[in-house]
Amino acid sequence: MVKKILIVDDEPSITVPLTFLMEQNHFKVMVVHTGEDALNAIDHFQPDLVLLDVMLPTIDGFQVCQNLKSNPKCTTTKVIFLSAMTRDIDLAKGNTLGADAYITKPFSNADVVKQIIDLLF
Amino acid sequence: MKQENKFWLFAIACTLFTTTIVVSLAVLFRRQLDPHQHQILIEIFKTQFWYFFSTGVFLSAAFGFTLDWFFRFYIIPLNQLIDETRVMNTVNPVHRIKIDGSREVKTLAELINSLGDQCEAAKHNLDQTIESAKAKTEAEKNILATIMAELTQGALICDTVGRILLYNREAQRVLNKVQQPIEEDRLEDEKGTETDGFIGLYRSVYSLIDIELVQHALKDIQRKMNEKKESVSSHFVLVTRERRRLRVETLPILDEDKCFAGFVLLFTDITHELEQADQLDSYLKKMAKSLRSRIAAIRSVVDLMIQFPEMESREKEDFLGIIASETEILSRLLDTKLNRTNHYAKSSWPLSPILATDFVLTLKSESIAISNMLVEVAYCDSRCMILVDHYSLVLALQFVLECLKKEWGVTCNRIRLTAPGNLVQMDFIWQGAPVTIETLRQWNERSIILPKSEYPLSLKELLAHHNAEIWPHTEDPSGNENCLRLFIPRVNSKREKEDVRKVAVLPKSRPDFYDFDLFNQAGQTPEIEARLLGALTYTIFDTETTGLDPRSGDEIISIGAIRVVNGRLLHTETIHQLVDPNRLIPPESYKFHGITDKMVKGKPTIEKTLSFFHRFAKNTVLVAHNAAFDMRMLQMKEKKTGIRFINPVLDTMHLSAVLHPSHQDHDLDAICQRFGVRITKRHDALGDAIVTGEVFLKMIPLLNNKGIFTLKEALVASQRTYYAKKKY
Repeated sequence: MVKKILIVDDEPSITVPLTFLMEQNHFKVMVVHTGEDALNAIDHFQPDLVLLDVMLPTIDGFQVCQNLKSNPKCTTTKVIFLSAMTRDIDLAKGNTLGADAYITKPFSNADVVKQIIDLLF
Repeated sequence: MKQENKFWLFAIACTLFTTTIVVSLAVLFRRQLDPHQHQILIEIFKTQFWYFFSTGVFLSAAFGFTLDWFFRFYIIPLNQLIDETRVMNTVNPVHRIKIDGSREVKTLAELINSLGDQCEAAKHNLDQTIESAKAKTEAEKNILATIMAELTQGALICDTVGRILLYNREAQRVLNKVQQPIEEDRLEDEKGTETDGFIGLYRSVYSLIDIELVQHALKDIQRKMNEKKESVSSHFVLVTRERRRLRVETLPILDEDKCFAGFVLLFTDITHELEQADQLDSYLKKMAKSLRSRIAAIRSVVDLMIQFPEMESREKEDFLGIIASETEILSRLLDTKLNRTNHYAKSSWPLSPILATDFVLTLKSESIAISNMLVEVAYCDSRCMILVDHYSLVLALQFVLECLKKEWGVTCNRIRLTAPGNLVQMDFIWQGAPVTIETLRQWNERSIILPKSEYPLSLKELLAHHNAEIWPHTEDPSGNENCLRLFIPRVNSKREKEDVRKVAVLPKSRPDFYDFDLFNQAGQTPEIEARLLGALTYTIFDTETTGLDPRSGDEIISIGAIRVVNGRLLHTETIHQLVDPNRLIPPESYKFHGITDKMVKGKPTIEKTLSFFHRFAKNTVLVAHNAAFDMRMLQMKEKKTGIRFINPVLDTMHLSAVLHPSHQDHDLDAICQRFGVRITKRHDALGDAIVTGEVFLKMIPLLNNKGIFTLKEALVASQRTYYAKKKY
């Protein structure tokens, strides 16, 4: 069965290549640009994994993650933060919320793919 | 007693005495006569009645006139002589006696005057000798005073109970500006902040700085001294209401027995530095974020193009477009932002290293709310240090616990300390619902306000100064146990040594500048009335009004006041405020005070001015000339403003009557002339207040001569005087 990945980032220059990368790796991809859309998409699209940016307008990535982790329907959904915030505290904040990985920008495509495969298979 | 009354008492006494003698002699004479002689005597008396009667009348008249003459030319002048000689002898040696009286009294007055001249000459010589000797000391003292005044740091020296004994200009600048005329907006600004105090000699420092902060610093110093540490100073950050951040260094002053004799507070305004550091920090964060995002995009695209060389041309075009636009943005970033980079100062919020475990334990001991919490130290190196501004961080955490309890309805029952990696984590654990990030964000934006104390920074700002953050965490999979986690960077070893401040010990003989002798002054006595007149703090004031009848709508148009501390007029601590009376100023009053309607227009109203004056005069004794009038003026406003002056009041007019009962004239001009006080600006509120102050200070030794030493004794004596009966 094809695994579903939700990409949440407000910058198309990130989402366009990421989408291409995921499709090349045979994942089913959905892209949203805001926290609200992400919460809706999690309900409808039921992704297996979310690639989540932290700095989003209004509802940020941390809030999306907190919401997702407290949602009983999403117990198996994995979360990977993709963020330009790189302090120790930022990483700790992500991990504290139950994120499965925290990848800092800029990242290598290979690392992202490897993390996803490790988490999903 | 009034002179007239004295005279009548004296006259009656003399008359009674003489009458008694005459009557007794007459009775004795009658007993010696036989009935026949007695008959003859009555006969003679009857025939010569008019002769006897007129003799009696003339004798009484002569007696009366003599008595009056004696009283006028001897008794009254002698009394005045006593008063005036006392003036010469004490407050005004250049005063010379000019009185009308008998030749003897005049001669006596001349002799006393010439004695005064001789004494004056002798004193002049002595003064000159002393003066030249003092000049040298003075020069040294001035150097010290100048250094104090020109210090770029603000300095306050306080005694053990927190009274300010010395302050410099910079301290005044950073803490407040008392002596500038009060402006409308400033009054506006300070309305309703009763706790906000003034800087001034003998005022309490705790009206400026939270007592808890200073106590904390003093405890810290005590601990360092007990541990015999090299450096004994303690730092804290004071945030003023205008959100200025002052770094405060506290130093102890010890007496010769090494006991606390007071403390020194040194203020450095670090607002600017902190702002710059914050700017730099946020700039760096923004910069890093933009760089990372851009590079992430480029890197990702390039990787793809290498990995999939045979991609479709449309996709290839898209990707190349991304690379082009992102590199374009990057170059612009570098051109604009980086060129503007300045050399910002490093953040200088003073943080002190402390063992994380010690911090948790003190937090626990200082917060009643969590004193019975369980502390669990897990996976934590016991030597793990963090950098904190102890006082403010404890407040911040108490604030968070308070929010949890009041707004989230949960109570923490456990603190857990862990230190994975470079961060120390303090978990405040409870059983119940998790806090959402959104709620936490709201708490972050709030100022730290607790029932007992507050800190004018937001939780977020305060944590940012510690490079710390608070974050929610769910403990167990069931989601029942939750916590808030404080992340704070750990410091590995001891930082570079703090600046060493060695303890200062006062020499045996006290330095003789300013008011260091206040260290041992009275004032610990709770009963203000029992205090000596010379040891009290006074606010000498005067008002100018539209007229003399407060009951028929006359209003205050100007208030002047000056403080007296330790027998000194403080010319830097004054009020001089015009007041808008909301009515026209009658032209007949203009010729006294020279204040026009135009001058008072737009000035603060009496309500605002009185509120300011009330705080200025707090905990002092009020002094005014003809105070009954001024007090009545203030009282008339009591209902409207709700401001009540409960300070004890002394009146220089009453005191003058106490000192010089034989003088009729007790107006300010006459008293000034008697005491040799020069009047500069009469009928100017501040001018009159200053003159009243000078007169008052000269009165204190005279009152002491009369056996009046305490405030209570002065009040009782005032009340007895005739003028005290005059009511407004």
